[in-house]
Amino acid sequence: MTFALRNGRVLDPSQDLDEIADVIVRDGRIEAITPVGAHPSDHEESAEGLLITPGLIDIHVHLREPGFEYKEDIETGTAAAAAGGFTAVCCMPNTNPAIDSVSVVRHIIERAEAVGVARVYPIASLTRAMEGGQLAEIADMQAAGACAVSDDAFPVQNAETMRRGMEYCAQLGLTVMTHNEDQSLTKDGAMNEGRTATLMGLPGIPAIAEDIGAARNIIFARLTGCRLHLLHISTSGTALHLQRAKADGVPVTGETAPHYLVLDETACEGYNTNAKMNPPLRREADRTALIGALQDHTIDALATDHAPHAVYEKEREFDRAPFGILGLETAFAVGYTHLVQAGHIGLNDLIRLMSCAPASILGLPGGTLKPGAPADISVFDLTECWTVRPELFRSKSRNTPFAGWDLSGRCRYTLVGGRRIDV
Amino acid sequence: MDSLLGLRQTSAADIRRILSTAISMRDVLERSVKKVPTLRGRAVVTLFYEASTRTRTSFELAAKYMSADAVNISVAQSSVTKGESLTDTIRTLEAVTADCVIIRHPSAGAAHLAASCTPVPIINAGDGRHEHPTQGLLDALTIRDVWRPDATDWDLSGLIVTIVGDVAHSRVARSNAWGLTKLGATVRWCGPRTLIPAGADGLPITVYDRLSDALDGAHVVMALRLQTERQERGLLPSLREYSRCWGITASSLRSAHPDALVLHPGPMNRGVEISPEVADGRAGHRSGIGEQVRNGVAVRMACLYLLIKPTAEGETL
Amino acid sequence: MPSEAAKGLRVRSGGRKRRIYVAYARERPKRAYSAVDTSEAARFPLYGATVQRRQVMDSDEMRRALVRIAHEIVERNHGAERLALIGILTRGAPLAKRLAVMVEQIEGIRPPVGILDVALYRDDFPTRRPDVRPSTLPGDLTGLDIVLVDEVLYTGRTVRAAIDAIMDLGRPASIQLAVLLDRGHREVPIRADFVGKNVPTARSERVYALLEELDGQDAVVIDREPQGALSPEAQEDPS
Repeated sequence: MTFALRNGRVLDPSQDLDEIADVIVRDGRIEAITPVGAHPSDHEESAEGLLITPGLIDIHVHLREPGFEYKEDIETGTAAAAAGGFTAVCCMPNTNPAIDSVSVVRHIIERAEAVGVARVYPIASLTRAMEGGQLAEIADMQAAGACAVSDDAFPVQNAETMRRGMEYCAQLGLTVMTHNEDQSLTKDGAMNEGRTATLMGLPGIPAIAEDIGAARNIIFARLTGCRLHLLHISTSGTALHLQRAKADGVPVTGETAPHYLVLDETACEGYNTNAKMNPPLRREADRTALIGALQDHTIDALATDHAPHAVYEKEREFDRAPFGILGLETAFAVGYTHLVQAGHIGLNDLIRLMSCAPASILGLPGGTLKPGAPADISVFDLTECWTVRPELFRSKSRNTPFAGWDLSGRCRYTLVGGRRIDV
Repeated sequence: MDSLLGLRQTSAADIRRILSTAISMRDVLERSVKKVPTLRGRAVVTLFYEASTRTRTSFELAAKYMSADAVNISVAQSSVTKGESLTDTIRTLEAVTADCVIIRHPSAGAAHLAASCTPVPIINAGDGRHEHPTQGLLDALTIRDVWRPDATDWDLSGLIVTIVGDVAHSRVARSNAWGLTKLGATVRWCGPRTLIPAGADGLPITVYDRLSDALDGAHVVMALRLQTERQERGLLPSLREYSRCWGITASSLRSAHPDALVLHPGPMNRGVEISPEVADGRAGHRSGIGEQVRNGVAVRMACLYLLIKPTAEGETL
Repeated sequence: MPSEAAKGLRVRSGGRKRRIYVAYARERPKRAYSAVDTSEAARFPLYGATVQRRQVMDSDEMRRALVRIAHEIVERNHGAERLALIGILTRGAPLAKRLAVMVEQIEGIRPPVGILDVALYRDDFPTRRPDVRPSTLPGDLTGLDIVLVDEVLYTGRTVRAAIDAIMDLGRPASIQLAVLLDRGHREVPIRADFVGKNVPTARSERVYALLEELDGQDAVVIDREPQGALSPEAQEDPS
């Protein structure tokens, strides 16, 4: 059984490919990329005028299942992913119970196979119940299918714990993904420390809290040889630490999220809880520095930190509202409109940052259209202009700062292992 | 004006209108019968999520002098986390036809949140460290009475107002920064760096490191209340040292204008941020602390008058 | 449209019943008085409609009416010893001052004059609160015969508010009311003790008492709502 996507613009940064061609799929894998019409197929679909890329991969997503299904679950979370052009997501362990045992890892993988419309790779908790104390059974979880280890949402404060965790993961060859924050500096903080927070009377989260956390974790990566991935970089300081560490040969990578590249702290004005996340939106100078870090390849990947929260949780006092915003359904269009069309990066850069690079950071299948790779493919219409209407989201939640934005570029459908997922 | 959420958003024209109205309200307060029927049949709710006898009493008296029915809802701190959400509470008050809700809340922006979910006028009586607009207004009124008693245009230009102390956690400092500068005054902030907020340059003020520089030529000196928990959070070593370095005393006032007016939003820690003789006006300068309280009622009457819309139909001459 | 309106402008000369047609602006400025011009047609080009204006009192008539009122006040109160004149802001205030001078010319005693702002006592403003201005009253009112002075008596609500305000401020021996013009349409049971002139009006009409102190001239004019689409009520009105 072969299937052909014909006559589309095939863009695959993993093989420096950007041409009008056919993509031939056989038995869930990429068979070949051929000149238009060169290869017969059992079924075919015209992709004329559309963009064909390796399926997008988001290595930083909160699917909320198990425990917080009122915010999101694996079914709606993967539907949101598919709508945004993602064929695979890595889900963070801050569920209830946390992903700190084999049974939760298996549960997520089984649920995703049953109801998911994108691949789901669970990320294991570094410590039990994410409490920052005793290490979780990381090796067992790795064997059960966990793709990485993270302390996201509950950054490990104790340096000894962090050191031992990274030593342990280094031996297992697992990447540790860290939320970088020295919480002794961020107590009660609600938004970036600075002018806007002072105007609004909100307690601040200083940028240096992230920089110090990142610097510490880089030092441990240097010490232990453990692969380190810096989650949601929001400050120029952390980007600088990352750049120096890479130059020194430390095994470290880093990601940022679209909102840090297009918004700054002033988006919180009016006590807009849909612009509240941790790390917070920073100064304009940080925003431009992060774009620079994308351009010089200091930052390796884009991830969304998709963090659904119910409307009633966000419709409250700013300092009491939870951190986090949605990202899956807007990430590509925000990136295309405000990074590519704005001239900051090329389209191939955007696809690399959202597909090839995330796959290689965690060693995931996909992220390429090379023959033999899984047929995880995204098909976009770059000409489609649309307005972000949260009430139409596939996600259960509505907490986006992009409501009402006019964006260009939209996913038409994806293929996951050759199976077509319609948006 | 639909609500009074902060002086940052309030135009200079509206500030002047409230203050002019407050002057007329003071006439009412001077009568033997301190009551006008203006808000008869209207319900004013004070919704306080923080303990505050002074501000709440001031608003309640203001409402009662205007013949409104004043209802007080005090929400105990401990039940906030478990209890009804603020937006639900506000909608409930709207449903029971409150005509104005006065809210005090420990979270910055709580008044904005309240105003966003109801057409009922909201008066911010203090939200976290954000703003306390009626305090800023009454301070402007007090300052004008002393320094510009004939200024019907509320022009305070040329006056230097120095605010000393814990400005980082002070909504009064922020409201005064906006209110007084919109009337033309110059506002200085001074205090230990641990109590000066990052990004203070976003406000229309100048930060001074040395108290004597900040007080130099100041027409008005405002001491802020120092919360004792600041010491516990490691923001200052001791109250004794704070008092010695930053306390407003007869000697520190020497660099200020000889007729300087000393204000304090209260309640005072005598002997910490302000020395007892300065607090009681026994240090040879002017103390406006008593006037502040009286002006507070007048300003709040003015706000209620201007914010609670009349109901009668048809304009007649 | 402005040019059409200009054609509609005409002045019918001939004594007091001079009629002036001016274009009518729906959004009348709050303090339109000083903009009112009785001698020359002013033009508001907004709608091209016209408003009919007639003058019902000129400065001589106003002076004579006030002199008469002053005499009546003195007569009614058997002198001026215990009299106080209180003008209701805005236009009652200069009238009260004028009456006090006239009373002095008659009796040799100038009664104290007060100014009363009734904004806090009014019940008849639909949307925006009127500015509150300070009242100045001649000391203790107890035992005095108070004459409230206003320019136009209409629904009576302002006077009702003024009486309430006076009662809150003291206990006068009596309260009387003097008005330059009574235009009818009372909504509360209030009657003026001293009236300069009774003028029947339609509710749709607007009465302006212009005073030298505030407007640069003394006159009373009545504007009639435009004929045509803007005000059906005005069409039915026979005056």
